[in-house]
Order: sequence, then C-alpha cells, then structure tokens
Amino acid sequence: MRKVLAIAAMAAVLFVLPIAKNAHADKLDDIIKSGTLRCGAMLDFPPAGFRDSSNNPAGFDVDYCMDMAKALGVEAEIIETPSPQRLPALVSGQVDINIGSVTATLERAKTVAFTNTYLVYKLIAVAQKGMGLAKWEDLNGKTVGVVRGTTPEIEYLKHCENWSEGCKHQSYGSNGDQLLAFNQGKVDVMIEADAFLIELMKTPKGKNMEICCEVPGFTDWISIAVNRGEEGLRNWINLFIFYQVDTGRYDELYQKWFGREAPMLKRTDVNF
Amino acid sequence: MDYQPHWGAVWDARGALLDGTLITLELTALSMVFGTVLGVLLALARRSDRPMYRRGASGWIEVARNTPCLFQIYMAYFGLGVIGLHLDSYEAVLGALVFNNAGYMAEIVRGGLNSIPPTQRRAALSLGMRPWQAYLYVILPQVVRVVYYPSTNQLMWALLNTSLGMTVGLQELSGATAFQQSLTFRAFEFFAAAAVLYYLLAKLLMTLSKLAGRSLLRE
Repeated sequence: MRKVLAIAAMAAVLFVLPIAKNAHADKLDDIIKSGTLRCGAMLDFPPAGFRDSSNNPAGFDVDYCMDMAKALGVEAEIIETPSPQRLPALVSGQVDINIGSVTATLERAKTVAFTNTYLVYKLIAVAQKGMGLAKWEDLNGKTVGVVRGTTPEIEYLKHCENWSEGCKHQSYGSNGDQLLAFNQGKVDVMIEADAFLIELMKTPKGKNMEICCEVPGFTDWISIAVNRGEEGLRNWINLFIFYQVDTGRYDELYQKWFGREAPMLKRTDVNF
Repeated sequence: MDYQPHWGAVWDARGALLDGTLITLELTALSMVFGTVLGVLLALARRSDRPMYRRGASGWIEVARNTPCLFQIYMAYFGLGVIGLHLDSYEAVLGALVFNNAGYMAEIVRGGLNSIPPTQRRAALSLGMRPWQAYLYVILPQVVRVVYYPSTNQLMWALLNTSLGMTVGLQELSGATAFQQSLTFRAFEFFAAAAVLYYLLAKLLMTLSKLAGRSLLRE
C-alpha cells in the first residue's frame, strides 16, 4: 500500500505538476473564471469618469468598462483610482485593467503595458474670464494650475523652460483641488484635456473660464493600461477596441458623453 | 507577480528628490522654531490672570490639537482663499504647521510649568525679582530641562506632517516623490526611496537633538 502511495505521489510530481504549470492561467482566464472585471477609473474627470446624481460611477470610461465586461460575459466592477493611484492599483493587483484616461507615454510604458488607443484628447488652456489670452505664448508669466504628474503638467514644463518668465506652475493632487484653486483665483490659467474643460464650462463651476488656446504639437493618445506581460489580455482588449469602432459603438458612446463627432483613433501615416 | 524594479529611475531623479528633502527640512526647522516660541507664549497666556488671554490660548490649543493637520493645511490654503487671503502653498503649509506645533508645544510647556513648585516663583519674587525675571531666570531654565525630550517627539511629528504639504501643491519630499512616480509610474521604487529618506531624516534629527540635549542640559 505504501509503495502504491509512493508511486502515485511520484506520478503526481512528474506529470500533474508540469501540466498544472503549463496550464498557468493568464489574467484573461482569471477574469473569466472569477466572473468579475475590475476596472480602475478616475471618477473626478467628467465626462470620462464621474459620479452621477445618485453617486454611481458614470461616464465614457465607465461605459467602456461595462461594454468590455459584457463582451467577456462577466460583471463589471468600477474601482476609483485618482490620477496618482492608477498604476499602484494595477501593479498591486487591486484592479485588472485601468480605463482611467491614461496617456500612453514612452516613460510609463516601461512600467505597464498599453493597449491600442481607445480615446484621444487635445489639451487646452483656459484662463480667468477677462484676461484676454488667445495664444499659447500668452501663458508666459501667468500662473498655471495643473495636476501633479499628468500630461498637462509635463507638456507645460516642456514649453515654459524657454520662456522669459520661466515656469510658474502650481501642481495639485487632484482635478478637484485644481479647479478650487482656479475658482479662488490662486492661478490664472488651468491646462487640462479639452473634453474635461468643455464639459466644465457648461456648469456653474466653469463660469469664470475663457478658452485660451490648444497646447501646440500635442495629441493625448489614451490607452487602457494592463500589467506588463499580460499579452493574452492585451490582445483581447485590442480586438475589443477594434470592434467598438467597427460596430459604431465608439461613435455612439463618444456622441453620448462628449456631444460631438468622435475623432479618429490613429494617425494615417504610421501604426501604433 | 512579475514586477521588475527599476531603481535607475529613482537615481535619475535624485536632484528633484534632494530639492524636496531640503524643503522638508526647512519647513520642519522653521515650524518648530516658530511653533515653540508661540507654544511658550500660549502656555503662559493660559496661566494669565486675564480671562481674554486664557480663553484665546485655550481656543487655539483646542483647535490645533483636536483637528487633523491635513484639515488645518487645507483651511490655510483654500479656507483663507474663500475670504480673499491668498497664501501660496509654502506659506500655507508653514502657517498650518506652526499653528499645529504651537498647540502641542503649549501643552508640553504647560506640563513643564506645572512641574515647577509655585514656591519657587514666590521665592524669586521675594528676592525682589519682577515676574518676568522670575520666569526668565528661575522657572524657564528648569522647564527647559523637563520639556526638552518631549519636544523632540513633536519635532518628529513636525517632520512627518510636512508630507501633507503635497496636497496643496508643495514640492516637498512627498510632493517631489509623487511627481516623479507619475512621470514614470514607478510608484514602489519612488515611495520606497522616500520612506528611506524620511527614516534617515528622522534618525538624523533625533541624533542631533540628543547631542544638543547632552550639552545643553549638562549639570
């Protein structure tokens, strides 16, 4: 009997374990098996992500996650990740993917993997009403409010270094604080994604705003972030993004949340 | 989890982290100096014969000790902004930390003052000293001895509380760290580096204050 057990144990070690190892589930399998897709999303960034009047997550990114969960045949769970927490939540496994309007930069791509583009923004600057700023260079010498570490800050820093008055920026921890500081007149200008600012200007919070200008030479290519090495999941999402556009759902969602025609998601002269 | 740390990213950003560290140290030192001076004044005001002084000092100490430091910083930056008084983020954080430290230091000093028997003051007065002379030459030198080590504890709190400055856009050590991590998304490396820097700063301040204490409090 003991011999049989020993042989069985050896057989288990020799055959079952290697098989189990080969069958090591990737993230895509994990999501399908667990029955839940956990999406990180920014909820202080309307209209991409915010809380509606009954405090439920809503917005373009939120709907995108819902669609994806539906296509996977699982439940969607939205987990709020403010801008600075988007990566830590992903790397530590609290979320499966991040659909939080993340700009795919080369620097960030050293840490996480990005899918194809699912959304594009332009960055614009808005100034206090009556300042009469009309072009990007008018920002020289003005105080500028940005959110720490976001693309608006990075783009501003690239330009202001060469200006006669240098960089005069204040970096805040969230869009909420940035907006509060702008409305209290602590900064003259704020730079953010066009969709966010245009949406704000329709509300009382945006009543002091006047559009200055676009941030020149910059397109904000927005991707879904997954952990590096999760190629199975990334491939599936890329296909999903293709079908969102192909079926017209992308246009529909863009129209619903941004209220205008959806922009092209790629350059015509090069692949991403 | 296959996460490969990139420590090179932290090394490349060492300049920014050191700049942040300097601001952190500067805020800690200034907020402790002003906080201690105000704390002594508050403790004395609390023992004053004039009810207005007593109530003012009690109010300050109550609010400073019973509300979170984060809230005090927000009030200094955004709260004062509502009434049109605009501090920049450095001034707001320094102001809030001084306010906070003064409240705690007042309690520490009060404990010190209570430990001196009242007969000492009376003895000093009977020698012909004026009340301020009695405080300055007889009571405070003894109080310093009692409150010195509890104050170093407050010094550590002041150091750690400076990290809240990042919420109002200050590029002290935490702010600089947060900025670098969102450029690179290397959160774990940067926060680990910041934790080590805070630890070293705390150890440094502790050692310095022990050495200072040894020569200052020598019999």
